[in-house]
Amino acid sequence: MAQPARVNAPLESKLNRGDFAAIVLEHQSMVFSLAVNFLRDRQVAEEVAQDVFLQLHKNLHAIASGEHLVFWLRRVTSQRCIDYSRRRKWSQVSLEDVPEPAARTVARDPWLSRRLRQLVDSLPPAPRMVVVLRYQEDLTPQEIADLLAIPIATVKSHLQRSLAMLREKVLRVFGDVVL
Amino acid sequence: MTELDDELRKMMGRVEPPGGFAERVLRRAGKPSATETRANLPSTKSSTPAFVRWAVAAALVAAVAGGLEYRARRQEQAAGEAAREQVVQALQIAGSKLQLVQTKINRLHETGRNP
Amino acid sequence: MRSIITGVIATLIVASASDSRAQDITIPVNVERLAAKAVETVNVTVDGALLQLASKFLSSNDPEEKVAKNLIANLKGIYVRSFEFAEPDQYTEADVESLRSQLKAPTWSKMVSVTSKKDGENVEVFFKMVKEQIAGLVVIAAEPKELTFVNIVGPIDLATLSSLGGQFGIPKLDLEEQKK
Repeated sequence: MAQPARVNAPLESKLNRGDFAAIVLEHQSMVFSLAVNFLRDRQVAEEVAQDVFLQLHKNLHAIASGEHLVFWLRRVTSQRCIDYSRRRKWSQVSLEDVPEPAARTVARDPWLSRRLRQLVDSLPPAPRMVVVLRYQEDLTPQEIADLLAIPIATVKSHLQRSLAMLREKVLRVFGDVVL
Repeated sequence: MTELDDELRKMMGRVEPPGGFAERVLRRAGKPSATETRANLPSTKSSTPAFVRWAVAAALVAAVAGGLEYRARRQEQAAGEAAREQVVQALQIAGSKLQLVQTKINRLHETGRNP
Repeated sequence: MRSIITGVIATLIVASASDSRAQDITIPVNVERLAAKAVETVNVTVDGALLQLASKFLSSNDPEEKVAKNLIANLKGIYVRSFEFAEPDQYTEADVESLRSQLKAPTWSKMVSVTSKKDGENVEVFFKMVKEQIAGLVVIAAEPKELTFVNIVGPIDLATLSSLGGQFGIPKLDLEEQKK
């Protein structure tokens, strides 16, 4: 189930007016969240997110619509995160720095979530980004394939293998949990 | 949707960036690039007054010291987080094994047998 | 599908306060060598300054981390060895016995031993008592494809530790019921 792109008439007018500040405010949560869910370091995630918006600032003229804008931001953020991750191997995970999602209510299963976070963090860059896009942005495999410019079969394979690994390793720690 | 899907979706919820994020982006967008900034720096040739050169040198030393301190803090933070993760993992394993024992004992009691 | 059945060995070793390391039960070489056969190994050694550092990084504002923080407040060390194998019979009873034999009375008491012939599981829990207080805990869990030794050194609240396996949302381990 794909989450519709956050496109609306006011945004179109912002684009037309070149209201860069409004665009940043509108999309900062999406861009920063993609980066922090992938990189697991708030400082680095902010740097990446800032760079994404600066790149957008230089390319604003090339953005055709609100839908294009969201696609562009997701694609550039994903690419920058994967590039960063490949350039630098992360030895530690800054869980302390990462707050719970704003929309989240009471954590139903915090220890399980913590273990899941560790396991997602252990995935290689490309499958990890596929998982982040799937579950943060609720994108379909086809949308993820378009975004990352990879075959849909690769996206499905990444998802299946990642989820199988997560299930197995969660079971290993928590016993016969039905997931 | 499986429970794992549900957990992942909750875990990956959107979060707000640190306060002032948009302002920092706009400030950077409105500033000249780093290379331009460097090109516009005043010359430090010998014609520059000595006190300016000393001030620049002092600023550089302070920046390096600050950088080292920042790096040390990051290293301590990384070590602390790693230790915390180890503790959590160990407690998870210990807790799950104890609960396994507890569950089996409870079941034996329910069926009227002694452990 | 689970192609690999989990195997975990966790060792908790209680040590004397005078030792530089809290752990006072050595992990025999034959047990350490199991890592070579294992598909996954968990090796946790947290004691002394590292344990204090970990405590600093556990948040008091986070309910579940607060529990963990309180739990480890007076501990001297936490040691875990966990080995998971792709196939059964990768460790021997002698491997398990080499650890079990170090847990001798009167210092150590076996509190409970649960054996499931059906699942091939054998979990043993040992306590070290000092002045009528629990001063250490060892859990040895031997399963067909996993071996786990857990050693917690210092006064430990067993109820709280056990609760970490369920109260905070980890699904209950009703293994038999789910297998029905």
